Amino acid sequence: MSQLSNSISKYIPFVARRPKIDRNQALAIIPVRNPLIEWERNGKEIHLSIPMRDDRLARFIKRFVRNLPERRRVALDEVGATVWELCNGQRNVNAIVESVCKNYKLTRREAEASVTMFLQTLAKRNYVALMSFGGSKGAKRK
Amino acid sequence: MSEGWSTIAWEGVSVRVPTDWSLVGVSGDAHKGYLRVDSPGTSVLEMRWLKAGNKPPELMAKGRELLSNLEKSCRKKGTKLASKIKADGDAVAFWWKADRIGEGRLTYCKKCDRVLIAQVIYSRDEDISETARTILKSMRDHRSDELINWALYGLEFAVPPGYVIDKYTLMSGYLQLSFKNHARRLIVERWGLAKTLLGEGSLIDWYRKDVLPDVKGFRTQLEEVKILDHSGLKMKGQASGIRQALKSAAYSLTLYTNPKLVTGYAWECPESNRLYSVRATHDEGENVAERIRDLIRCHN
Repeated sequence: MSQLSNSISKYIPFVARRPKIDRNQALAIIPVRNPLIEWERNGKEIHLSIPMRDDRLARFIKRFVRNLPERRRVALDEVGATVWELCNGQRNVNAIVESVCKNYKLTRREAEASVTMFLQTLAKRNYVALMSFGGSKGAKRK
Repeated sequence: MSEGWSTIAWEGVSVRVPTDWSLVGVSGDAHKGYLRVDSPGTSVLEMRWLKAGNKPPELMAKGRELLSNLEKSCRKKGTKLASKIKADGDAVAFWWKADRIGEGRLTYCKKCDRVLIAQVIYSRDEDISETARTILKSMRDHRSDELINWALYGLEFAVPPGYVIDKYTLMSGYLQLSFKNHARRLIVERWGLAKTLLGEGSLIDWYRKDVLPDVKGFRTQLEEVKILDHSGLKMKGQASGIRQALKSAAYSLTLYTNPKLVTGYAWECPESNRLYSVRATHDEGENVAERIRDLIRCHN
């Protein structure tokens, strides 16, 4: 059954089942910043400069709308900026959570909830990629 | 396993758990309720309480019933269940082993007329039976004074009898517990990331922006005070406006009065990087906000 679902999902992506991962596997994930995004620190904040889409639809819209900006800007607040800086491909989610716990004196639970939600949002918008090595083996990796 | 222990209390029912265990679910009221605390691993503490109806219950029978229900569900799943049950002083202790291991305890408190049922469930490869026993032995139904205990995520305080939970918000970085006692209101709040929230501004600026908009129908004034050696503020207010007048008129038809005053305290604890706020509506001569403020330990 799973083989069938895998073959179908090759052609119809939304049919694909989301892989189930446990807490340890989730903590072992390594977030990596999208290299196309330029960013700079501005005091406590970080400003991201994100390139606009360049697919067919975007090109079609560009025909009708002139002076469409090439990039858009997103500002991250202090905690967001700290997490963004930590997403350097060297640290996994567990290490980022620990760092946030220490810097902002949050409890482990508070930090874990906030950091994972934030990373999920970044990943949905393609600002970061989430690399998984699987298993609790990776969770020890920092 | 963590070194320290912290208290989790809801509706007066309290239990001590390792600091890295956290409350993940709670429901019900003082008569009947449930709470669940998870460890960072796979262990779980489940706790239920229910009013016995002024009749001391047969704890042993209740324990046997619980185990027989468990056996039925195990049979459905096709797993074997081994169990033991024994009297432990006034309480009843039980133990079971199936695909996981459970250790539990049932107690009855005459004063509160409540039965407490708690069990710690852990996987077969974990050895936390010592911790489980310590947790179960720490179960309490009430404080030695008349106050009712509340404790979660490190925020510990107690409220005077008569105050019941009205609503609560348990978010990462923000906790709010709101109580009511007829027309009287009592609100305890805690924010994380105090330094980020305050930014360059003062505590009074933050309070004006984030807390005062919720204090409606009172003419308020703020003054700076020291609370627990921290910089803090005191808010005093007097009922004003048509809404309050109408409320007072409506309450004059009942046995209860509409409080005319509001007092609140807020302070920043740099040690825990948190902001605390307590505010209560009251009448002349009452000091609920002060009592709660003095019970909160913002840092060790």
